[in-house]
Amino acid sequence: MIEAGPKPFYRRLYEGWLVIAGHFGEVQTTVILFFSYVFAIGPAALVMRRKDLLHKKGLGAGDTAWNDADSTMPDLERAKRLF
Amino acid sequence: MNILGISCFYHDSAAALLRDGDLVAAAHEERFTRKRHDPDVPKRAVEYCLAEAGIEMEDVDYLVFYDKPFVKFERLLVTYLATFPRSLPSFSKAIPVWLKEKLWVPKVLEQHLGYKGELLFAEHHQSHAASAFLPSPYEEAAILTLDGVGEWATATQGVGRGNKLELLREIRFPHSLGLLYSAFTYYLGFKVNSAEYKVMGAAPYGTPRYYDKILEHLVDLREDGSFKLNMKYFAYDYGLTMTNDAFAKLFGHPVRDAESKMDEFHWDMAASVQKVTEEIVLRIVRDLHKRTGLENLVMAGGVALNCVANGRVVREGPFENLWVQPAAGDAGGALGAAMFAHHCVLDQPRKFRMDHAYWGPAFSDAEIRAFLDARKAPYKTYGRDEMLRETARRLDAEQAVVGWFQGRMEWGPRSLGARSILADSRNKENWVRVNKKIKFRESFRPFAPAVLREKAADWFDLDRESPYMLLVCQVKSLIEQDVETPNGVQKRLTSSLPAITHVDGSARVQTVTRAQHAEFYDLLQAFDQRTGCPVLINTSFNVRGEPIVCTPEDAYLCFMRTNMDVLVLGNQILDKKDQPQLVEDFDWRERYALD
Repeated sequence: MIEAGPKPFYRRLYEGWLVIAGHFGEVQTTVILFFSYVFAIGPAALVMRRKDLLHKKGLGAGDTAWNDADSTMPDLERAKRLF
Repeated sequence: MNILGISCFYHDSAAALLRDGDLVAAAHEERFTRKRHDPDVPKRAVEYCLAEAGIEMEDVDYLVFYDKPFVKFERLLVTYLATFPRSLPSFSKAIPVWLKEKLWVPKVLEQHLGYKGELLFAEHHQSHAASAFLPSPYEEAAILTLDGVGEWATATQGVGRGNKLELLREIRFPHSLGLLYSAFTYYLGFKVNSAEYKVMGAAPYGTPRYYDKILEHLVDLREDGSFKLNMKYFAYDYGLTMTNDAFAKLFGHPVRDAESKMDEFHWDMAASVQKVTEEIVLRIVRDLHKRTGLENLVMAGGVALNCVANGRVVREGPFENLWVQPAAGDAGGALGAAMFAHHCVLDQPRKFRMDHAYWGPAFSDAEIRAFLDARKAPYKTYGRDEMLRETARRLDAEQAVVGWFQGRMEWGPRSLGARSILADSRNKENWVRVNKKIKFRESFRPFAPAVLREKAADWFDLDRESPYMLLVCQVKSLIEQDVETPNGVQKRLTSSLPAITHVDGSARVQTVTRAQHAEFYDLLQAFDQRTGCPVLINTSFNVRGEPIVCTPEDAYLCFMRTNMDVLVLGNQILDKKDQPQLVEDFDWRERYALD
C-alpha cells in the first residue's frame, strides 16, 4: 500500500480557494435568488394579488371541495411529456 | 418487454421492474444505502432489480418516472405567487434544487442510471392509483388515493376496470389530508414524512378533546368527505415549517421539542387528529361508494398506511372488500408508474396479481455461511424443520428475542417475516424489552402481531386477510387492568397477548399463509404446537432510525449492536453469547439519526 505524503502547497492552496469560492457562491446564489424573487415573482404576484390562486377562500353552503379530475385517456405521446 | 418504474427526489425512493407485465423485483433504495427514507435516484435498487431479472439497462424498454416534474414546478411557482412575500425562505431553499436537478429528470436519470431509452412520465396520483388497482385481486374496483401532495392533487377518487383506470375527482393543494396529518406530526415534535405512524401509535393514549376545535377552526369538512383547510394556521405553503404561530396560539402550546416528554395535551392532540383523519376517510369512502356502487375498494398514498383508519373502513365502510398495496406510500409509485405504462399507456392486458410482499433480494445458505465464516462468527447449521423447532423453542422456553432473516426482503415499510425481530407475544415484558433494549425507541410504541391466517379469528376480531399489516382490529378476550402507560399506571385494556395489545385493546395484525411465506408460517405453526398460541410479536429488523436490514451483514451488525439473543439467518442459528465482541471504530448510534 502506498502511503500518501503531505499534499503539495499549490494543492492545499487550490483546495482552500475552493472552500472560499464555495462561500462566495452561496452568497451569490442567495443574492440572485433574492432579486429573482423580488423582481420576477414580486410584480407577477402584485398583478395577481386579488386572485385566489390557491383557492383558499372558504366554501359556501352546499359547496364541495372536489374538482373534476383530468379524464383524458392516457397515450404514449402524452406519457412522454414532462407536463 | 421490460419496464422499470422509478420514484425519487422527495422521500422513500424506490425501483420496480416488470417483465411482460409480471413483477420481477421491487425494492426501496434506503435498504441498500442504509440511509433512512433515502430520496436520491435509486441507483442501487435499480441495479438489484436488473440483476434479479438477469438483464442489463439496455434491455429495459421503458423507464417510467412516477410524476410529472413540470406540473409540480408549476404548482410551486403558483404557490410562490400566492404567498409573496412570505415565501422567500422557501423559494431560496427549493429553487436551487429544482434548477439543478428536479427539472432535468431525463438528464439526471441518464447520468445516474446510464439509461438512454424511452422515458415516460405518469402523474403522481395516477401512479398511486395504478399501484392500488392494477396489482389488486379485483377486476373492477373503486380507487381512493390520499397523500400529502403530488402535482396538484392531494386526494383522488377513481374507478379501475380491467386494464384501465379513470380518476374522477380530486382535491387540490394546499388542501390536503396528508399534509394536515404531517402538520400535527410536526407540531407534536416528530419528523415529517417519517414519523406519522408514531402519531397514530400515540393516539390511543389520549382523548380526542380537540376534535371539535380542529373541525371548527382548521378543517371545513363536507358531507361528501371533501374539505378545505384554513391556511391561516399552516405554514407549509410558504415557509419551512408545517404550522405557524397562529396554530400554536389556537391550541395554547408551542411546538413540542423533539425527544421531550409527551404530556396529556400531546396524547390528546394525537388522538384528535387521528379521529379527524378517520372521519374524513370514512366520509370520502361512503361518497365514493355512493358514486360508483362497486363492492371493492383499493387505496394508496401515504394516508393509506394509516391502518387504524383502514380498520374502520373495513368495519364501518360500505365496501365489502378492501385491498391496500404493501408499499402504499411514495415508494409504491415506482410500481404504479411501471404498471400504468404497461397497462394504461401500452394497453397490455392484466395478468399479474400481487399476493405477497417479498420482492427484494434473497441470500442462499451458502452465501450466508460464506459471510459468517469470513466474519469468524460462530453459528450452527440445522435442517429446515430442526431450525424451525429450535427457533420456536428459544422463543418459548428461553423467551429469546430473535432476529429472523429468511428469503426475499419485503417491499413496503413493514417487516412481514422476511426481515423481522420476533418475540413471544404472551409475555408483557417483551413490549418494554424490545422497545427499549433492542429497538432503542419510545416506550409508548406498540408492537404488531403475526398470526396464522386460519387461526386469526380465534385471537382477533378480524374476518379477513391482513397480509401486509395494514389493518388494525381489536384483540379478543380483552380485560381491564392497571397498565403502565407513559402517563403512569392507568386502567387500560389488555389481553392474554399483552405484548401486542395496544392500550385501547387494538392490534395491527399480519395474517400469514403458507403460500405467502412458508418459513414464517411454519415457524408460527411450530410455536403454536409448543404453546397453543399462534401469535408472535413481529417488528422490523432494525434499530430506531435505521432502514430495515437487507443483507446478512446488516442483520448480523444489528444483532450485535443490540440486546437480541438469537439470530436466525436461513438455516443458521447464532447465539449472542457465543459471538466475539463487535469492534467498530465509530458509534453506530450517530450513523442513524433518530426518526
